[in-house]
Amino acid sequence: MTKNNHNETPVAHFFLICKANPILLERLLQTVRYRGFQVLNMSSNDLENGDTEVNFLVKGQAKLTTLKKSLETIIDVQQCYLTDDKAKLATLLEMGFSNMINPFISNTAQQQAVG
Amino acid sequence: MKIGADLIIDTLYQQGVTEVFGYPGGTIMPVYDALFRSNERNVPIKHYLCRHEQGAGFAAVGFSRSTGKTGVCIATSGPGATNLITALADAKLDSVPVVAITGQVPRPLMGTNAFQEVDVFGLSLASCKHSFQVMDQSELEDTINQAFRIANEGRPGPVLIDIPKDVQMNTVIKQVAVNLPTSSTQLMTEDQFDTAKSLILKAKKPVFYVGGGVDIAGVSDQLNALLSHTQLPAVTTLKGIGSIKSSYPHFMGMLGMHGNGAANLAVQECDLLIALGARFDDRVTGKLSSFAAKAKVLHIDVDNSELNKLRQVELAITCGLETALPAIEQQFAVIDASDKQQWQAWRDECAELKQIHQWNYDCPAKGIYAPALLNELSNIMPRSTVITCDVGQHQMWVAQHMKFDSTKNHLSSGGAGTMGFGLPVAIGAKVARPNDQVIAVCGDGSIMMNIQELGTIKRFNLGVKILLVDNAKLGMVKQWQELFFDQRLSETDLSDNPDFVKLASAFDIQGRTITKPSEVSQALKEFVEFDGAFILHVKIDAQDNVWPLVPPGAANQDMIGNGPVENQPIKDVG
Repeated sequence: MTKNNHNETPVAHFFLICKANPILLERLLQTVRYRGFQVLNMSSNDLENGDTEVNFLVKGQAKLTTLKKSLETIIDVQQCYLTDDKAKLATLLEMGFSNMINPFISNTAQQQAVG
Repeated sequence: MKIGADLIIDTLYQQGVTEVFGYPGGTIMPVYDALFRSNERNVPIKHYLCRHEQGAGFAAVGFSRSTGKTGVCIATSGPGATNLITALADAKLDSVPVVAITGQVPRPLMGTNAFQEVDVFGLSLASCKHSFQVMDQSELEDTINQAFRIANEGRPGPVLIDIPKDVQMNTVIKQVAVNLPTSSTQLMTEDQFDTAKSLILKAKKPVFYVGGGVDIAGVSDQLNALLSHTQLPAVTTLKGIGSIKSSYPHFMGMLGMHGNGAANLAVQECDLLIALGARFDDRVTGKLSSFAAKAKVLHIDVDNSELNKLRQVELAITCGLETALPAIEQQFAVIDASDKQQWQAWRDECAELKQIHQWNYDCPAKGIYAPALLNELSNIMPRSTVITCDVGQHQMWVAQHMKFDSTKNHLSSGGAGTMGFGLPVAIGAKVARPNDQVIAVCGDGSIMMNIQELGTIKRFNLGVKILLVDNAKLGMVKQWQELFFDQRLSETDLSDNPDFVKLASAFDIQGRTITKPSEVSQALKEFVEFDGAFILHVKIDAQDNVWPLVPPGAANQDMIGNGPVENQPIKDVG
């Protein structure tokens, strides 16, 4: 997990593929907050197949694996990918993490996601 | 053509619902009208009018927990819905399948601060497993069906369906699918299975740590068979009580903050902890870093988010116990004598712990001693009796001193610890199991939180028995004030309680008050044998506290009030 420059709080990136739902983002944010993280940046994109892809960057001291597993238990979440490796995260941030193909997630999953 | 409200009732009926609990109000009136007409429409659903929406929510919880079926509750928008939330939060923490239907203001008024408008959908995000707001009547049927599926699938939990009034009143022309993802069942892999078996066979001091998930998965019989094959020591959480037959010779009791001394010490001493459907709650582990510190841990749970959440384990298996436990049980059905024998020294050690830490009912206090009272009740009541509890000292005494052979007979608010739980949950249990005795063991603080449900008992002539354990205190808080707040007893005195027997009589419920130990046996006999609702009001010794106790932040082996000083007034144990 990498650290941001300001206060050394760990930062990580999530990429989700979800069933589109008006409450989806609110539900994700509630889970992120409850599990002890703060969202630094977030974007979502409705896909042609009716799904929604969501990217967000979080920071927090709590357990990332618990957050990931909690996100996976949400009914609307179909796939959940976590990137917390410092080098990979730096690459993602440099690329601008929204509206992109994450090079660290399998191509098949992303091709399915972006239709 | 039918309207949305009729479709709601039809779909509930198709789901097998024949009893619901609720309270009417403005925005849910179309549903109540449909309920009124349900007999003539040949979809008979009996509605139990509770006297508060929280009572209705908890009655649905009791209905569910005493049977394994889905409980259903109904309320109006705004305060009606917010009153349900406590029961739903309780159901979420204890993994209880409940479907709650709430009315909402008509769609054109939503978001305008309309009369009785509260964003209950927003509130439900934190208190329910899932929630829906149905904005078109065409989605009603599939939404309700999905709600029942989600409530029961994987780790069960409450699902709320918020339905605007105009959606209930509109004619349903077509029905469409909500199209939600379905979860896939995860099975135990062969590698996991082999590793689990190897861990168990290599362990010198294994202990089973059994949580509420075992009964939820419906595999208590397989667990008992596995224990019978291995003859290994086992402990349960509060919610696991009843999963292990009370006659099992190596059952050590409940562990944790108010657990049995032997159970806590066995876990602290074990070298393998086999956690089944349990979640390492802070009331179980005490100081986490010291909990079962010598042990490797094998953890099986259907909820992946519980694995490695608090305790890092050697083998974490995300799998429904309904598939995992029968497979393990079969594997150990034929077990080598040498394998079985290798644990004999450990069995002997645990048996000695049990002997040392067995409960002592010779309390020196002058008044009625609640643990002895509850133990006596446990010995004379029919084995099929359902006991519900409120929250506090009496709740822990029930867990410690009563024997259960099914978790469906011990309904206690575990995760949320909700005062006022016992009485409405008993109502739900009695509706679900009318032929079984149902006893609510209440505290004098807790019972007042849902006392209005005496009206529900009267209206439906439900034979719910109430054993009121009265120390004229908020006893558990008082105990902590004595121990950890230098005896400053802040706002825990309830010496101005009402006359509970008179109060019950106002609802045509008979009752009796006892104050002396000499009255206990006869009073309990009459209580158990009485045909109908009855309140036995027991004034206990206010000095009695719950022992042992693991102080906050301490390790479980550092429990106080254990052993020779057990049952002593607080000043004697320091």
